[in-house]
Amino acid sequence: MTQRTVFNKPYIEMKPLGDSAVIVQFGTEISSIVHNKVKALTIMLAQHSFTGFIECVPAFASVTVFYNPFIVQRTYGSGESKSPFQIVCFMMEKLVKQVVEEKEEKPHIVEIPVCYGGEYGPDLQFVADENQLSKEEVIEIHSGGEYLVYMIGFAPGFPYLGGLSRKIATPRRSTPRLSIPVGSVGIAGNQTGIYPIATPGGWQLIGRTPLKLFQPEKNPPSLLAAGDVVKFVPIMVDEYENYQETT
Amino acid sequence: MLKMNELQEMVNIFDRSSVNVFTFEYEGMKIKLEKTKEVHQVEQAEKVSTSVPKSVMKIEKQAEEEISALEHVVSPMVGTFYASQSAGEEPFVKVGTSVKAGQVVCVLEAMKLFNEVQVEEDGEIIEILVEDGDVVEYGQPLFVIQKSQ
Amino acid sequence: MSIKVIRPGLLASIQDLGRYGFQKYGIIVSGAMDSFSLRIANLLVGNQEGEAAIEVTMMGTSLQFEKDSLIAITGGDLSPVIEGKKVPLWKPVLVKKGSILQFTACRSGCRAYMAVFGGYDIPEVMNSRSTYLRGTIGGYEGRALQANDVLLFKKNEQAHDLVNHLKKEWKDKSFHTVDWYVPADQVLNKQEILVIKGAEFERFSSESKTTFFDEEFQITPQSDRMGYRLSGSELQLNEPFELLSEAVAEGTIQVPQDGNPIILLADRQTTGGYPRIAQIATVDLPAIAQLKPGEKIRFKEITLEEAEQLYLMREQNIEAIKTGLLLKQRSL
Repeated sequence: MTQRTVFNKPYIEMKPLGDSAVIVQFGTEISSIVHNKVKALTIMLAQHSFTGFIECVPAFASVTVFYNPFIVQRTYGSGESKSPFQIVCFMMEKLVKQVVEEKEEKPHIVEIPVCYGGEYGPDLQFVADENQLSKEEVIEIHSGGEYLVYMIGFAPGFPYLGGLSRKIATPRRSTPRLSIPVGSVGIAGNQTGIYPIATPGGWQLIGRTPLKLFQPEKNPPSLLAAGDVVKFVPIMVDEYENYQETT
Repeated sequence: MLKMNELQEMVNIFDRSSVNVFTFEYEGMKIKLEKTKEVHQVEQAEKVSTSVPKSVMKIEKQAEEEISALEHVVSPMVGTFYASQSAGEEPFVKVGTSVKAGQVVCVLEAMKLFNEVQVEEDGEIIEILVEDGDVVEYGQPLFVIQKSQ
Repeated sequence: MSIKVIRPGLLASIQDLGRYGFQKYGIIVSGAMDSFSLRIANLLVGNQEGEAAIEVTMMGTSLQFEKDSLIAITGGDLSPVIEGKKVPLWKPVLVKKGSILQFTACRSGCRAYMAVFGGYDIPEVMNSRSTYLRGTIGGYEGRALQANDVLLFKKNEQAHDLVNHLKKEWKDKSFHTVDWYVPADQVLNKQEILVIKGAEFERFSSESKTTFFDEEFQITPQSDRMGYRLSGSELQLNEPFELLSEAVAEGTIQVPQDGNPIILLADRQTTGGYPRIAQIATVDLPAIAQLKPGEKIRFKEITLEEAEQLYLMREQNIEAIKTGLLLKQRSL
């Protein structure tokens, strides 16, 4: 197994998000290189947290570290004239230097069954027409891809997925729907996503999954986590209806 | 009975002297002057009060008419005196305010808690002896009130 | 021990200090809008500061006590009364069985917190009892309180010393209290809100940067636990730019395309992609939570170091209050 540090020539910027959080930023664009750094620091923090650490939130190009300044100051601030922000920045710098990328590591792949078209995917035809494809081709392309979960946000369990083929990219609906059912799989521009809770939205709906992305009774409460890879698996209507969660 | 100006003169002389305790009896009246830090004590046959000389004099002056109706509201604790519930609000009482028994007249801050000081009897506020933010001692007079008849 | 909701009022929900540790899964934090008041309410009745309490919004809520109960109400003055008599705030109060407590009018502030001795017997979801209204989890069945809801109290091993103390001089009153309180100065009637510059502050036009600190902003009626939308001069960027979504925090002030700033509050989404012009100092978040739609605010810039100092002072102050209450209860 070859290991190399992720941050040889790091682009790292640390900036305060108020008096109780630090944004550790690794870049300004969406890329798998930046994503790997985000993922590495998130894992590192889970293993080496500090007293006063509350939680961290990974995003496309940054990890935001939330902490309690009072506890940080009381624990690490003795004698030195460092502020809580400076103390946490110092700890993050040290942590980032220790981070190594395990190139061989296989990502966690999550298969998501989707019933495409019909009443569950009312916009499948539109997406096909828009891209001069048949419905079957759209399904093949969508379910043939691998999608990296860059981050979870917007709603509980909602994944920001990268990797949608340009062949099926479709603009949003001009009039958003007032309520999109739970589990809907949609396309908006060059993004694809799954709705974990019922919410208004303008996405083109191509199918629906019986899987629950938001599982409040479980820990973690989200089916997906940043860094996972999603594969969509087409299923039939009766499979959708009979679907029993095996987990 | 001793005249007010005579009593005042006596206190002044005592103040300047190196004497620490001075007792004086005259026509059934007993006066004891005692220096303890900044506080002097005046003891009278009928009435005992602890105070700085200024307020003592005031009480004695009015005492010529109705000595029994005047009382001090004293601090029940060591703390910081506040005249109002919170900064910027109207004070609980002003000079001339009529108060009822149980009414809150000020608060004292100690250990981050605000303690309400109530009057025990109905009356009227004659004088406020401390200022907002003053640190007061246990037993220190805070208000002079005239009891209702 | 329990209370029954007679009328829920505008909005009443169970909140604690929030649901932390799950933002990376998109789970919002929730929790008390005015966490200072919630903490003090709990401390006044002898609870841990992070116990759940009822957050009452503005007015209309009424609750009936089914047993004698030790409670404390803090936060905004929503004129709580029992049998027409005003119940004092920021004090422990012993309430007689059968009494009905009504929040009758919003005299100052916007939200009140009612803690009970022992805490409410509400199951934890993801380590918190806070109600996440949109996610329908936590709190009382994942929703705001409704008429006829019955909130049980946790069982207490031993009676609070205060209860015994207050019962001694209780007589026939519907409630009885002590002659001391915690000062509320820190959260009420604050129109000048302390902020530090946000990550994208310099991206705003020089006029907008000046306007932001010089002019007043009004809290619009489109404001709730998720955030306060402000109206005033519209804030413009130097030039439009793409910002990648990333974490936001309570008190983040972001500016969408329409130029009207939004202050993100307890029920905010976990991430956002709008430029952040400023961030409210943590110490002033309770003050924001106590402002109502229609009220005006002004932002005052402080440095990060000043915000941190104020944060530490606030926490030291709360530590001192804890000690003070402990000594007070011991001296009964």
